[in-house]
Amino acid sequence: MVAIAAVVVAACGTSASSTPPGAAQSNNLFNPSSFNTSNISWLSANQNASGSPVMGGTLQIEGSTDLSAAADPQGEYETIGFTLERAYARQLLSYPASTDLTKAESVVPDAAASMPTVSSDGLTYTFTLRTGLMWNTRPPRPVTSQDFARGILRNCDPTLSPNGNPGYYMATIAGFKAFCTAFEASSPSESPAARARFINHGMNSVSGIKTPDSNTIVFTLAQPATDFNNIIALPFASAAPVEYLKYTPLAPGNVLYSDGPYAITTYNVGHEIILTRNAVWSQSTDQIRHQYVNEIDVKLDLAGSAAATEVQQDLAAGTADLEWNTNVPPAAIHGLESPTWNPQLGVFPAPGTTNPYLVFNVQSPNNGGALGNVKVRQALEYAIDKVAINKIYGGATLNEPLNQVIAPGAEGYVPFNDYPTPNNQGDAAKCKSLLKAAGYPNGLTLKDYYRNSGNHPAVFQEVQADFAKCGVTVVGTPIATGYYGSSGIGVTSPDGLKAGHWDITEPGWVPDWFGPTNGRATLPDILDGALSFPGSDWGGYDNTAVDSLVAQAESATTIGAAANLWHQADEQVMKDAPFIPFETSLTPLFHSSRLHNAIFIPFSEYYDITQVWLSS
Amino acid sequence: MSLSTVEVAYPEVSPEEPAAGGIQGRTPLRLVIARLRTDRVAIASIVVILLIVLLAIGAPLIAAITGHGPTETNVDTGTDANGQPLPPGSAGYLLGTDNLGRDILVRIAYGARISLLVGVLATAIATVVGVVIGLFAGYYGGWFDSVLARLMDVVLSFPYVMFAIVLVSVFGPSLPLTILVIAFFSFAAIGRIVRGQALSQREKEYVEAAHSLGAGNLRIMFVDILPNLVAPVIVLATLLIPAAIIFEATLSFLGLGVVPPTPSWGNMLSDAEGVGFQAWWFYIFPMLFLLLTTLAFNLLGDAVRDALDPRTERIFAGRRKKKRT
Amino acid sequence: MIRFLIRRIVLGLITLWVIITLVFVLYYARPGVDPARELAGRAVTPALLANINKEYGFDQPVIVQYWHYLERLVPIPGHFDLGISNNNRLPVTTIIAQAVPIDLSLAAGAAVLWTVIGISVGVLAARRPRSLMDRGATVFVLTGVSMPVFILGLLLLYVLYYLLTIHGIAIFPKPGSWTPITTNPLEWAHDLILPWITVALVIAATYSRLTRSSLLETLGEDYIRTARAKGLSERRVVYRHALRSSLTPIVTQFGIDLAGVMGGAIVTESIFGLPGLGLAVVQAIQVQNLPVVIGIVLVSAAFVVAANIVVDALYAVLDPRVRVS
Repeated sequence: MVAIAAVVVAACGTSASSTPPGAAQSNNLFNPSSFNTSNISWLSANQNASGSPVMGGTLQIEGSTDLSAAADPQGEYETIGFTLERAYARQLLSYPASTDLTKAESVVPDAAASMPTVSSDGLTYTFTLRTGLMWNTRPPRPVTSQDFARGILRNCDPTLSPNGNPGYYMATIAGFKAFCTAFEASSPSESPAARARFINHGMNSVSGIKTPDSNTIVFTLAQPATDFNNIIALPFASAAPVEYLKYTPLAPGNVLYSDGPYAITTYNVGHEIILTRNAVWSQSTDQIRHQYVNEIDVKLDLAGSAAATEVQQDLAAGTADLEWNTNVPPAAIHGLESPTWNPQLGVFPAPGTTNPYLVFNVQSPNNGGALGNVKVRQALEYAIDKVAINKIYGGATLNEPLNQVIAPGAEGYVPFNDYPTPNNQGDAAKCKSLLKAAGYPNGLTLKDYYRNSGNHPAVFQEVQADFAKCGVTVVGTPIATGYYGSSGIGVTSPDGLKAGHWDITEPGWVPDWFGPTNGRATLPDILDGALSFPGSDWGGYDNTAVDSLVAQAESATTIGAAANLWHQADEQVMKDAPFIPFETSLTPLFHSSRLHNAIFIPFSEYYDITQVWLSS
Repeated sequence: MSLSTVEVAYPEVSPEEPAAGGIQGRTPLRLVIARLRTDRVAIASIVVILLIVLLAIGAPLIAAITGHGPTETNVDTGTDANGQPLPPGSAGYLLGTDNLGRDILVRIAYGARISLLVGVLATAIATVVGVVIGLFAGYYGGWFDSVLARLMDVVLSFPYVMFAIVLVSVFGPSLPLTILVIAFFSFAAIGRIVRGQALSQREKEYVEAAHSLGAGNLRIMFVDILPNLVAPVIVLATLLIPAAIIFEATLSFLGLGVVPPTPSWGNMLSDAEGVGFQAWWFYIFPMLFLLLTTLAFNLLGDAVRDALDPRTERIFAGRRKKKRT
Repeated sequence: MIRFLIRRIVLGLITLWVIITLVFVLYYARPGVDPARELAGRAVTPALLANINKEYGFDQPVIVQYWHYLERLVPIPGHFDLGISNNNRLPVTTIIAQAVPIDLSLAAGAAVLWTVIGISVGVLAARRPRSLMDRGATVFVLTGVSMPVFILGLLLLYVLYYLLTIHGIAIFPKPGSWTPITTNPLEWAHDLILPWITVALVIAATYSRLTRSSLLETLGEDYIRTARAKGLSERRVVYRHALRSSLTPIVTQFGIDLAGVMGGAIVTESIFGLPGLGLAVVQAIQVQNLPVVIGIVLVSAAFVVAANIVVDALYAVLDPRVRVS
């Protein structure tokens, strides 16, 4: 449910002439199936992994924004949250840190002793926990299957900031939807004790989650799902100790319990988070993480729009080791790639990312309901100069134009383009003539709500200029950043879109997981009108044909069948043109020279902080 | 900028002021103009202001000559391969480009329009409102005056940006709102001075005389007292214009004033912050024009004030003597 | 004196009440707007809205809401409630309490700077009118008055931080550095040097103008002539006699400026990344975090009104003529 990664996607730039060492064509990074990772140095070997691991030291991470849910695994939905959770929250299954992209995208057992036993009808998943997993409580006590059940149930707590986290479980686990809807609708001003009762009741009453003993947990699905393992691997399914029931919502300073290699020991809101070694974690119980550094220190209070530059300077100088929420700033990238590629720089694929894109409010009554007319939307598909948008985000080596819903590397990707323009730079003449044919020879006036930070004002101005060439006037309103809220995109009822406050807007999307079974992680979230309200289907698009294809894909029994169905959904959506895709992007990351073994995990678009060691 | 410290040493100019040091009688206006003519700094500032006005008026011409519009994005040809702005002198961009490839010279010219428009209009509104309120408060006195005076004090001392934030958070940023916010904040500066003057003037004999002649309050306020205030009000208004320009630039810089794509010197600097210091032309040129404009208005305001103040006659007499010999 | 104070306090409370009510009207009671939606901020669900409505009582008549609103603002522990931040669920009072030390630090250092610089420049200029020193002071004043704070901040950052640092002379810290004084006083001061200068210079300019004109006026008075005739050294005349009485307007201005800075030097904090009230309110506005915006605005207003009362009292103490008026 990662709508917008908490990463300031600064406009990064790369000279088209410098190529990464070993990469035959840098464009191939966009489609992982078509490049050989062993040829790209920062993908083939754990970055800077020479020598043996060194124990000790403090990992310094630096950034400019705090977590949005106080580090609560059931509350966080931004990538910075996922990064940190890797250190203190384990799931039944998880992703290994591997430079082999295929391995990195395939779940392995984490808290579970082995992959689940699945019944022949694909509806029952049985997990058995490893022995030796402990909470760092006083005294330490074992992690139980009830902890995992509790974790999943907590997702529906009404005091959590509304997010889409429960959606995946509601869609798959039998009986969970009823529980979750009831819990979410209850009053947040009731006491934590009342909410604890609700959760405890759920632990016995939800038929799809059963804990026959403290080492076993059995999930029963409402229908088969080829991606259930991925859903269980999401951090929203992390175990939650019984202590979390005392405070809802969890505030900074309450999330101190850990079953991972590190635990949060200091949380200075808006300023700093410090994690130290968890003494009760043992390497023998964990095949994924390590505990090399002594301490992880995240400084969050760099403010100002030049934060990305300052972080970069500190990384280069060695006073910090990793960036937190910022990316390598545009002006710096060129100098890092040429004349020779700086070994501290890595450019990583996040296959399936589509950020940003433009969505139409198909229910808007403005312009006589023009946006409800598919021919109008199809005309506008020709308007955008996607190469210019690429440049705003850093140029051709980091971004590639996208012309469909599913991006390269995501499940169901089969390239096609219903609205080709020369060089993807837009075709104003065609747009104009199609608009005229649709009945709008004098063009339209569209209202655009654009986010007031990062690259969004620049994107808005580019959209405005491109549409203008097509005879469409765009009037922009800057809205609060962070999330589309009350005076922005979000509406309080499905009918709210009919008020027509806005006609177009430019959100972004990062899939919640990657790999050959991640179809559910993109298309339905942004385009499936049947999902529970509010979702991320900002424009109110709903096509029962697409809904049906999505439902079939989600309950397909084989991966091949699912992929095919996702592709069909993709084609159907693009025919309806409810949105205009812009681009898919790579992530440039930098680290200090004393940091060793930096491995990129696609899920958090970041390095795995439990793999690194420090040595000068 | 703290408007509350804009001070004017206003002379008490009653209607018949003998021309100091002069042989023939001249009206105050002619006196002022004569003095200003000898003030080189004043002349220089007037010239600068006229040039900026010309720049603003001629903005479409500049756009036509260079072939670049102020708001059309130009990312493909106006930025380098990394999407970074081009430095001055590249490919027909005299002052370089911004982060979306637009011509900075053209945007500065259009930005001049905004600055001048907001500066003059907001000041005009503030002046009218301030004069009216100041007159009423000072003339009627009593609790009415106390409340208004206190209100003006608070308005003057309230952090104006905070105030603008409140209004923008409620109504959203726009040009008319910016003008209104600045005018609202500035009226108190004028109102305070006018009130002080009105307070002292109403004790004067000519006011008493007008009363006894049967003149109504309104007539006394606007026909008898007001002409005496023209001098300080003009000085204050001239000095308020640069304050208003600075105010608008600050609001636009914070994203609370003029919003893109309309260029304003303030929001250009805000865009520049996002790009970074290595694109120095994106910073320096808007800064330069902003400073030049405000400096010119401030110098002019000071010069007008000196010209209106009979106590400075020594200086002007000296200058005239220099010219004669 | 007491009566004077009481009158001033009453006026101040009335002003504060007016501001509080205006805020209420703007945010909670605008026709056609759903205040619950505004307050909810981030992704809204019907359940969340229902709860906000219940908590704030938006379904009750406006007058009842207003009463509850006023109740929550009574500054007694247990009553005083500014709500919860949408962003991280912290009470707004906690957020404000965390930000205030930064503003206090900024205000304290800047106040020392602007007072010392402003008064000394003003005094030096007044002692030698029209000398080189005086002309220099005039330039200083004009620059300060014509320069928006954000431009000064950007310039200082560009020259003293960026240009120096890329040439290897890293004296000044990067924006965003902040060390509490209790942790390391030296580091604390080091991190605040550039922000202090930014805030202080512009105010110092207006102070030196004020000091100069006020001192010049005082120096022309009879009792000064007497002191000189008595044979006192010029130094004693200026510093022991004239300065004291000419400082009265400065003292009152000082109180107002100090309150303004403490209320959140919004622009300076934005540029230098200092986590004070100013930056908090700007960031809150960007994420539609209305409880924080409202809370900070109210607290700033209270600051300003309180400062006005204190300043009035001080003025009365220093200048007995005022008490009688």
